[in-house]
Amino acid sequence: MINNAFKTNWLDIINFNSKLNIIEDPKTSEHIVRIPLTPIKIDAYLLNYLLGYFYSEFINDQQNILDLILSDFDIENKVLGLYLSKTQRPGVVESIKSLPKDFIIIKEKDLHDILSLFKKIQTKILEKYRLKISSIRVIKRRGMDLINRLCENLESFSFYEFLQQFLDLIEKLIGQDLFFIYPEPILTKFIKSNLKILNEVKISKIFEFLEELAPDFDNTLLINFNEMLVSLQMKKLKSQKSKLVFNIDRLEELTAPSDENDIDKVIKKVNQKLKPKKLLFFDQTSIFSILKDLVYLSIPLKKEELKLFIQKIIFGYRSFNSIWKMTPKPKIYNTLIRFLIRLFGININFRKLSHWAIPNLIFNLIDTYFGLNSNVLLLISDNKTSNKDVGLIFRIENSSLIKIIPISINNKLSLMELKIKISKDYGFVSGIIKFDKDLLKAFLNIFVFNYHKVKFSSLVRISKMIKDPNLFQIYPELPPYRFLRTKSSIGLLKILLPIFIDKHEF
Amino acid sequence: MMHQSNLENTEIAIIKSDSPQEAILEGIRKLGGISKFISRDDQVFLKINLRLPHGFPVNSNFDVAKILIELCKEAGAKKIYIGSFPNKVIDLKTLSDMLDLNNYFESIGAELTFLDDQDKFPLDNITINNNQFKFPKVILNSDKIISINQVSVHPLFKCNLSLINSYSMVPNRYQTIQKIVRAGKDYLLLDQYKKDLISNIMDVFSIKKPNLVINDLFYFLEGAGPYIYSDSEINKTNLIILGEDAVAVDLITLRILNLDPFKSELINESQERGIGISDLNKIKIIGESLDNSVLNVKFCGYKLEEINPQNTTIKSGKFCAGCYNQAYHLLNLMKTHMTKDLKYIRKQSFLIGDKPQEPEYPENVILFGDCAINSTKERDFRRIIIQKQGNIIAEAKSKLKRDKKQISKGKLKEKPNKQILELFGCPPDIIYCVKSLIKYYSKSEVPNLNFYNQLSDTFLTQNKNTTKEDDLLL
Repeated sequence: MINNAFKTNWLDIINFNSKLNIIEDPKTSEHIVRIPLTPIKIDAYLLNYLLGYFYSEFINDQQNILDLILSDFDIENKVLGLYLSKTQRPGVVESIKSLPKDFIIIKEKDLHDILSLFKKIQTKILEKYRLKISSIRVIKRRGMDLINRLCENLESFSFYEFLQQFLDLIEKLIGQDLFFIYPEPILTKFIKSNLKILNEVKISKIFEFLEELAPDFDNTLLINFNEMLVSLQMKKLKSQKSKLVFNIDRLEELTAPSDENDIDKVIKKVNQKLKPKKLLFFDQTSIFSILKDLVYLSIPLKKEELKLFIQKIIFGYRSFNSIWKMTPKPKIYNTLIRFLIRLFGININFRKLSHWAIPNLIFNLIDTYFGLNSNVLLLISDNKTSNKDVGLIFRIENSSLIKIIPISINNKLSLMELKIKISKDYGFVSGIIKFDKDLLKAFLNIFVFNYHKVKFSSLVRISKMIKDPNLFQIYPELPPYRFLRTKSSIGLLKILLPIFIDKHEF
Repeated sequence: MMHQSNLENTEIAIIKSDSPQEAILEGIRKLGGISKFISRDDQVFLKINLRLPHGFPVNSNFDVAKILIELCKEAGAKKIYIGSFPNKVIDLKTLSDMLDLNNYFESIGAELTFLDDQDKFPLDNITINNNQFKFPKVILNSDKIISINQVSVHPLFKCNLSLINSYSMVPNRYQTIQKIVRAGKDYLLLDQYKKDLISNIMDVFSIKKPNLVINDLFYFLEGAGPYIYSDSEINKTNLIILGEDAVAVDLITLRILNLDPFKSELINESQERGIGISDLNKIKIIGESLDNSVLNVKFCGYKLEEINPQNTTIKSGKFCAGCYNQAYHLLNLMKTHMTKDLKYIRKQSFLIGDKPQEPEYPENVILFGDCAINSTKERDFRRIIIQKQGNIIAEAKSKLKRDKKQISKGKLKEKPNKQILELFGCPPDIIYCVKSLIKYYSKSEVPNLNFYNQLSDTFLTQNKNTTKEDDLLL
């Protein structure tokens, strides 16, 4: 029923997990497996650690699971397969047992009362196998077919193609209820509610769009996972056929830094070993904490929660050399350069980014000028090609984004005509925000992918680009846009930087 | 021109629906259809809320206006005008450009009336109760008036009633309340400002009463309003109240908002003047039941202290509704647009009214309004005592010799406290207050407020002349 390659890999993982307790030093084991449903090869011990962590944080923190494969059409008994997974640590399967199909009879109506069904299964398994299951994972036959189709082609996919297919699969499995877990975990709740907001916008299309915006990069992320040093190599090179490259390796020969002073030494060693173009160092706590905050956000996003989340992101961004490190060191942190810029009355200190004032300012502007309830049309143009603009209506209610509606845009219409047309069809549009891809590319290039190269002129360049109506426009001309348009780039920075950057240096 | 109510009974529809547009359609259907209100070839004026170039719900819901325009067209209206006098700080042309209203209304078959363009829309002189008003001829000449009132919390009247919406049918200078102290009457104690304001509102309302009144509380702005502040929130009530009689519609709205309508000064004034229907027995409710529709909403606080901007202590004396209204907006503006500034300012005292309490600290004392300024002239905080430096060299020598007797302590000197900001006016104007605050603290100390001011300047600059003579709208 399940793809052979998937099955073999899954059994290999289970086999490793079951032997983990009897291996003298599991960290030294060089057993390599694939992350299930992906072509990514990974150290089995690292996967064991990550599965244990993620499963208990985002899916279920209790032991033992029953997987049910159900028919889409049968009425009398929908059960096609039953697999009982025994776990010592949540999510880390150590043994799997196939149960007879008639162990439990499930009819269509049973699925309408999933709590009773779960209790019935739980009691029956406890009686027969003396094992208490904490959750059931239900997958419908159609879902299983989709998984199999992905697994069959995994070898032939480039990493970019794989990601597209994988995101489509997740969207179909969860969006169409082909796969669900009971009790419903926070992760599927999060995905489901986001799919609802995204409406007809496909996640794979968002990924495609972001990938297109990203410049060429070759970044290595060094993460300290519970005293395991792991390198994540991410590359995008246009010259290469497979656009994206992703590798995950456990650096067994290097010991994880034990204290703050040790980190620089380790980074130096990794630089010597891997010779990456750019290396970023993170500790697992910061990564896990931000992931947890993201998944636990209530959807539709509540303003105060989102503000807090953005505050954390900005706080992380500003905490260079404490929460994260980077080599080569970004030039903008050079004290002499900052001093020279300050002589012109401009204070740039990214270590003092005002993580609390920036979200306040942004949300105040949105609330005041677009309104607490609004329809905002986001237009993404591509001046370099004659492609149609991408149009998305963001429907906001009480400062919360409740829906994103993709719309087809007629490039021949002026923004005024477009606003009237969309207002008639979808309700009054408070404003149209038009970005060109070039602006987004420049922004991502400067502040994300090539942050080490960021300098004062980059900020001036961005502010000049924002003032160019071919690259950025707000229609109608609301006060913030009129202000933006009438100020010089330097004047704009002089007014905004005191809000964006805290004045005290200590 | 003044009309006395000739309605014996009236029907008020309370409609609950999934969308405001559906609620309007359902409400009008329940009241007898649009043809009951609009006849063929009528000239219709839609009175909406149009305050500032800000988002919803500062202005009316334009989707509700759209559905009404469609209904009027369906009923055969010859011409549909829409508009209102905006806040005094902005002219309608700028506001329309910033929200792109003219094109929008034109595309749906209505004309936005630039009421402040008196060449195109002249005003007529009207006298009511010995008060002179200038009233737009276009409204006077309209066969029917529909009032679309966006209901939200209001610092003076708890909520924004349709009677208040009618007030912006006259230019801002006629909305301004002049301080007239009557002999033998205490202006502050009697809150003469509010009395004069209510009287003015009722005068303006009685010039030309609407034929259909819609109180749109589908999305009710609660917490702080009617502008958007940090404490403002939308409460989706799904309710719209409509009827022929504005007083009755307002009365039912107050009941739904769990307020006693007979404690409302506006309803009491209309009762006294015999304007509209304020007798519950004469109001027939259709649609949802009144008792089942009662809402619990968050009104603005009674006291200015409840606004609680960061690092600001508020000391109140006796003040009138005029100062309260302006101070309410200024303090909410500070709380919303000075978050970073107030964190760095650390200490700030806001004194308002006649004989306010002494500020806790002598630094950054803001005296709001003429009453606070004049009644504190002789207060202690107006002067600070500093120690005049003695002979530094002699002092250093004494210290080296450890001769405590010789150390001169320096003389004490009294100086006027310069850390006081006086905001003149009765009541002071908000824009003037913002600019004075920036001048007092300097731009670098209040970057948030400076940015807010720069944004406001994008629409203020064009009508500098009018801001002096007018007062801030409600």
